[in-house]
Amino acid sequence: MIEARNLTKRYGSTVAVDGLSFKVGDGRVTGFLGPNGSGKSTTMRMLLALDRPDRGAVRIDNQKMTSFAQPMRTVGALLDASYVHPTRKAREHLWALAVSNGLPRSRVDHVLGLVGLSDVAGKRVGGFSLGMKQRLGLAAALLGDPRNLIFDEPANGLDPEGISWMRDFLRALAAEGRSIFVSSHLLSEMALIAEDLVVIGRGKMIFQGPVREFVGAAARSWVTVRSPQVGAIASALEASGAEVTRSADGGIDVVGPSSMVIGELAAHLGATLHELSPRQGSLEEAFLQVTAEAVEYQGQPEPDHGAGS
Amino acid sequence: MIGLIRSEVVKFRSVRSTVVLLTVAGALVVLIAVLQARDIAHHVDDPGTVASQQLGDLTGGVALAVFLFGALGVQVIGQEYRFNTIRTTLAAAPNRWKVLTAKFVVVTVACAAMSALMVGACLLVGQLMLDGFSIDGTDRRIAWAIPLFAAGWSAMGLGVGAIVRQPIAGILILLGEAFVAENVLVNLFPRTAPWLPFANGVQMAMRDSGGDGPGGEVVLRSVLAGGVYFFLVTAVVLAVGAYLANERDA
Repeated sequence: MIEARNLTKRYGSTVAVDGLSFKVGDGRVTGFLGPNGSGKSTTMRMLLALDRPDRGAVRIDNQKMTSFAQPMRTVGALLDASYVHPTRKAREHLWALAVSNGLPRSRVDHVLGLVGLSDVAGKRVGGFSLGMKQRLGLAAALLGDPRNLIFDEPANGLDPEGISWMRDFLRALAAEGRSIFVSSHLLSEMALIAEDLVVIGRGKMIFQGPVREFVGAAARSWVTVRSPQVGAIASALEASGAEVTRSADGGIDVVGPSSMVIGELAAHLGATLHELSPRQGSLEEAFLQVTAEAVEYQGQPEPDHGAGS
Repeated sequence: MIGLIRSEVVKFRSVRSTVVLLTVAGALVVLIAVLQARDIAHHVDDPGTVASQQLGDLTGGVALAVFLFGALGVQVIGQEYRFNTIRTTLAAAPNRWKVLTAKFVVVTVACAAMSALMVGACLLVGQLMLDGFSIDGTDRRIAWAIPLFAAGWSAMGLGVGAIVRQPIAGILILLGEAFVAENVLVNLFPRTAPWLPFANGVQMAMRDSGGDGPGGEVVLRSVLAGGVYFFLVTAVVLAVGAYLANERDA
């Protein structure tokens, strides 16, 4: 289990991380979300004792990171795939890490095989693609077969096959009872991988809990209705105070009443229903909604100069 | 600790630049020894020439090699910061004092060992190329002082590297200190001579330090006191580097 207690980090007058407390449970994938500059990477570095918090503490399996004689056996991390020396060979990179934690050479070959890099183990890392470096970073994280894993943007640079592989890989690791703490900007991926979320903005905690709860609370939900008598249904719904939006394909999206209420109303009107679908907004929608106030760097839409007119 | 030292050995020998630097340093000294021996052998029969034929006359390349050892010391830690591998290193071994100690052991032992090999090679060159080759007490002092000074200067590089965290900047600081700053200081303010770490330290590895001429133009410490002073300064630089590496975010 990974636990952060009241973590605070300042850079001069800027508070990068402000009193963050959270737990990453065993056997679960916990996603770590936040806009750019929200303090995710700083938090991850503090978890690994690379950056010193100004206040607060980190416990991994109820111990300080610095108390582990062989930390790779307890926690593995992939912070950035580019943290490799370009003229060092992949196997040597892993061997240098392994030997520092008393791990046998067989572990190096094992993790190289796990991430699919056995064939290039003797090649210099400088010639690797970003995806290959990402796999090498994963291999390094897994060297000590740790119970806790911390990944910062692990899907970065991976092709679609690689992303799919990563998704299955993280799930399998969690299924073995490990705590997985993973940040990603690929929210669609996060929705598929994570069971829990820690969402921060401007260094402060916004949400911690199950993904379903986050999406349910923050994202819009509505019911899509299609019917030959859609006009009558829409009028009745509007009269009852529901918010009705007509879509281009002739259906309506209804915010307010549940699908059960709409179904009963249609029956009362003697209307035939072709579709009655409850819909839920995506994780992305929920994330954008929740972090709208916490976005530090925001682009502006391109001004319309009348192109195409 | 043994695991960390082994890890540093793997890192040391698996990066091209460190191996190249070490090899070039060794080759340079041997090459200069051969050239000096050839020069001595060529002039030894000149009328009116009293040619010295001793070990200390062949180790002139050491001063150059020492700079490469200093650069090596900087590289051992500076490269970690340059490529951010220090984060991978410290995530695997969070005790920074131990990591720095392991780096210190590996780089100083490697430089001392290479220097000892260089001295051996110079001895061999002298015996093979010079008929009147001999070794006196000063040569014996030079023979052990060269590996010692090489280790010390590489440790100085490690300390500077830990402070500046930039390999190029660290190497320039070492070069600037030894070649430029000390020369400028001693020329402008001759009284600073006893306080110049490189000049005082390197004389233990040389037959003629040229540091205490009769006119009082430059007065270094004695060979022993200069060596002790050099290692004291090195220890202070290392301690500052270790403290900063321990206190700063990685």
